[in-house]
Amino acid sequence: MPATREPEADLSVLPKADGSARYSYAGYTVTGSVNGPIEAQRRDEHAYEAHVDVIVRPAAGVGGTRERHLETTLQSSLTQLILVKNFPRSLIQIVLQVESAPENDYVNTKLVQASLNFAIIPALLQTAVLALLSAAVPMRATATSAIVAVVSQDGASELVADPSPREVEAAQSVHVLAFTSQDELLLAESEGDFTVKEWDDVYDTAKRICCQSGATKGESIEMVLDEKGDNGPDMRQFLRSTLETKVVADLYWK
Amino acid sequence: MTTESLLVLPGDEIDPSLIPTHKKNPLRLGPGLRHVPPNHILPTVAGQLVADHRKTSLYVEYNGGRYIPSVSDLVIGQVTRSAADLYYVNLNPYTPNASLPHLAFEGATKKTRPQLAPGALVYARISLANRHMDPELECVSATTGKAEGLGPLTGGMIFDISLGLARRLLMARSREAGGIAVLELLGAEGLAFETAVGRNGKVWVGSENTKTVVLVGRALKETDEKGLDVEQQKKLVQKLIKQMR
Amino acid sequence: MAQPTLTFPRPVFAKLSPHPFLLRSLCPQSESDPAGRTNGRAPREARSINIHTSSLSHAHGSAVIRTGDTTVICGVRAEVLPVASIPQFRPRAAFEEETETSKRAELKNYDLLVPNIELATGCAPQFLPGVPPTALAQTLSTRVYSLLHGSGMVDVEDLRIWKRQKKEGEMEVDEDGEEEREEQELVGYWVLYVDLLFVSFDGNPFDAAWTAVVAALKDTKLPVARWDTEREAVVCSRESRPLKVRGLPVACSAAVFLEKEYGEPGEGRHWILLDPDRLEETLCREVITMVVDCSSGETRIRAIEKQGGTVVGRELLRGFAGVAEQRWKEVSKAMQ
Repeated sequence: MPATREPEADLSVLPKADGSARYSYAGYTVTGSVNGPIEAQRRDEHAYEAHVDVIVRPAAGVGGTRERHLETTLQSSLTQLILVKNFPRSLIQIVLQVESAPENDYVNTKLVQASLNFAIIPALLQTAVLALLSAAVPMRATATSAIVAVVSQDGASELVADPSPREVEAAQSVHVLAFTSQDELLLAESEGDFTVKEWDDVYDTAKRICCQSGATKGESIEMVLDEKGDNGPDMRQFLRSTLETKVVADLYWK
Repeated sequence: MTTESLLVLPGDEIDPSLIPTHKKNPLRLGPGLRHVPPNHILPTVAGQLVADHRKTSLYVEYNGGRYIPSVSDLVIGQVTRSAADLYYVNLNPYTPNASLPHLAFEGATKKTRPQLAPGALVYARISLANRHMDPELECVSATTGKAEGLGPLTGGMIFDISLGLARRLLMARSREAGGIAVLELLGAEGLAFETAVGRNGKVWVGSENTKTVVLVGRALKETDEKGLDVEQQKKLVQKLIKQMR
Repeated sequence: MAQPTLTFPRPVFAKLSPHPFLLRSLCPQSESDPAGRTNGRAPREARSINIHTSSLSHAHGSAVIRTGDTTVICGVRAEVLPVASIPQFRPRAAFEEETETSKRAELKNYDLLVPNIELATGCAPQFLPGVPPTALAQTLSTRVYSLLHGSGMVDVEDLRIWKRQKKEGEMEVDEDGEEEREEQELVGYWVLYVDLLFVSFDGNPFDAAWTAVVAALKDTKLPVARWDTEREAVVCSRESRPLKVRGLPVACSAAVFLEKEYGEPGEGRHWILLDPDRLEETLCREVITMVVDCSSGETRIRAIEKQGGTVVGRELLRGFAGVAEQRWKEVSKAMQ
């Protein structure tokens, strides 16, 4: 299955929601909607801050334990980004509908697959951030996320950004990292078998994908040579240009 | 007016040279910005940073999202129910009701207050907006005691528009500054109608003629959804007028 | 008139305003009153761990783990899954090489390791009777499931049940090519149901649950099973052999406590509290879990999970590997 090499996104695709986004990259397509701040149910109400409710719906079937885990992970990360204290006793609801995920052509695909937990987090997080921006929910910062796999080939290990499901399966270890726009590590999830040194290399690669911006290109040239030109996409620049399109369209009358 | 503009995302650093300074006037922060002590100003939404050096103000211009009540905004609400001495008014679906005291109308006393049934529309000003409390409304100016155009809206119809368009319609010179001329043009075509614009993304259109109400509403919605500029608005108005006749 | 001073005993203070309670405890007040957590531990001090195995007589392997007031029971029960009842069964072709990846895929595709976690009613006040599994229980189950499959502790070879035939056996069932090689056919698998029950819950559920899983798997003895041609069924003999468990991954969790309860992130001081208890968990947003395995002599990380905040960056995470190593030593000692 040919995966899109460049991330693509449309903002405000759903007319009734306060904000929405459709994001597709590396075989994943996710549509997200954001509504809020709205009235929270009594049991979710918090006296000092907004409750962030994340709902992940899989492409097929109903959500199970895997989705609950993803929701918990995303919720704790997004609560850090949204200025939840501005809206006490309210609710910000984020619904993420997975539309398609890359299929592994080599094995019988099962609906429940734990390794998929990881690979889909960047797509979900990116969609959520875009939808939140579309809904103009006040936020502390934006975030970008990347997935990197360590694949060992002929004794030498190699870092692969945005691995295919096949590569994820064969990988020594898989890592998902997310950074805020202030270059802070927001989320780190890793699975497999690796050393601190390997994690360090992964951190560098993920940070470059998430946090490079036009200004610091000079530093990364050296890295590009190491990685055989596979520099990965520049997620932060992508976020900015997507929003630029939206803002220009919104403020056409200026 | 000197303005400079630039795209900002939440948490972006703002170049200090863009922040207007004045010897006497303190800097005023508009929507979409927050101040982090001691001296950081950070955007909270994605939009265009607008600095007004004359007024020493700084804000982020954006469109979209849900209306968040803020003091002295004009809004259109729908009465959901009446309590002992106030009405509960809905400004936005799925949000807590705002309260409108029975006596917050022009010349209202216990005996003469307007009787509003559930479902009635009111044009009101937000008198209190606090993150820890539900908003409060008033239909009378606290200083003059006059209604100043606020009060119950009878007849007509409500149309939903984007928050950005509502803001532009409320601008003092909406044609020049906001690039919105559709109402002016419709009026020039000889249609008799009145409007009330709520910052919460609602427009009320009233007229003797139901056709006129629908036409004005459609013109506004189309302008909003398709992002028409003044020239296109002219064409749209001409087309709609032709269809009506 | 003198202001009446308001004093509360410790438990009341902890209930009324937990954040200042913990904060005050962590800030040293005087020489005689050293800083520490409200539970009397130092920030980087974990609760000691007690492991008791083989306490359940009807399970194939079991363990009871106790760390502080967190107690979890884990039972491993093996059941035979005949190949015929696997809907998507695909026998491995002779030319396919068996690799580590294919073995893991086999475990996963046929669901041979099934963990489930139950938080018993009454183990902590927030768990009510008669409700569906909480998000916490579901999250824990998923995490244990991922780690169980990701760590490769169990070899699928141990779970296979073979039909072995003598050389002079019937020829009609076998194809010609098969006959030359070892005449054996896969007829079924052992499925390991790993059930965890929290008897008492006082924070840090994942570490306790994972330790219980590892201890119970190490304790597991599977009966020797073979295919009985005459009865056409799998029969088990009385003798049993222990399940081979590779490595000893140990989970180590910590929570980040911030000085300002509702402040900006990165503002004020922070403490990293190892092995948080229930009070501390409710006050901390950012949590980090690292699973390490030092059994090969070298420190290998098996999983990292960090979420909910921005305090822990690269340096802290690197440093945390050392803390996790220390914890590994403690746990591996307790395992013996």
